[in-house]
Amino acid sequence: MKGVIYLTISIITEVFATTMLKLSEGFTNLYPTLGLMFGYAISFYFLSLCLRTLPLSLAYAIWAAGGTVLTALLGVVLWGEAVTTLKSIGLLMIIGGVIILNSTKEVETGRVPSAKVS
Amino acid sequence: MSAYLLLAVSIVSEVFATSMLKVANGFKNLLPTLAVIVGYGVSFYLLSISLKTIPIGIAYAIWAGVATALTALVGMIVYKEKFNRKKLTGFIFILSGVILLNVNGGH
Repeated sequence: MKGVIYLTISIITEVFATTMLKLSEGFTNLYPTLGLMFGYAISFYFLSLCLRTLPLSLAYAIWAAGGTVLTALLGVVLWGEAVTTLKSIGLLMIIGGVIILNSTKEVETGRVPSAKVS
Repeated sequence: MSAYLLLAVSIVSEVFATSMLKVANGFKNLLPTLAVIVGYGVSFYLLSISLKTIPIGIAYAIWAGVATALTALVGMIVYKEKFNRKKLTGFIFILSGVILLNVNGGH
C-alpha cells in the first residue's frame, strides 16, 4: 500500500512540475522554474521510493500513464484545449490498461530482491 | 547527427536513468543516484535538441511509448519481473493510449 501512495505522490508532483515547465517559458520565469525543479526532484524521489515494493515495469507504466492522463485533463481544464475523439480514445485506453494491470493482483509483491544492492 | 538518432539516445539514457532509480533506493545509494541525475540530464538535453527538427507531438509520442516499453523489458530481463498475458494486455492498452495522447501534443 505504501508503494501505491508513493507512486501517487510521484505522479501528482510530476504533473505539477510539467505544468510549471509550461509556465516557465523556457526557464525565463523564476518562480515556475523553481517550482519545476522542486517538483521533479520530489517526483523522482518518491518514484524511487515506490520501487522498493512495486515492480519497475508496472510502476513506470502507471507513472507514465497517470502523468499523461492528468496532464491531458489539466490541458482541457486549465488551458482550454479541445477534447478530440483521438484524445478521448487515448484516455480510455490508458484507464482500461491501468485497470487491467491492477486486476492482476501482482501490483505489490513486497519483495524486491534486486533492491538490496547497496 | 540526425534528430532521430538523438531521440533514440535520449530514450536509452532515460530508460537507463529510470532503471537506476530502483537501485538508488530513495537516493540512499550514491552511484546509482549520480547515474539517475546524469541519465535524465543527458536525456532531456538530447530530447530538447531533437525537438528542433522533429514535431513535438511525434517526438513525445515516440519518447513516452518506447521508454515505457523498454522499461518494461528491463524490468522483465534485469529485475526478473513476471509477465503474463493479462499484464501484457494492460501494457499494450497503456502504451497505445500514451502514444495517442502524446501525438495530440500532451506532455
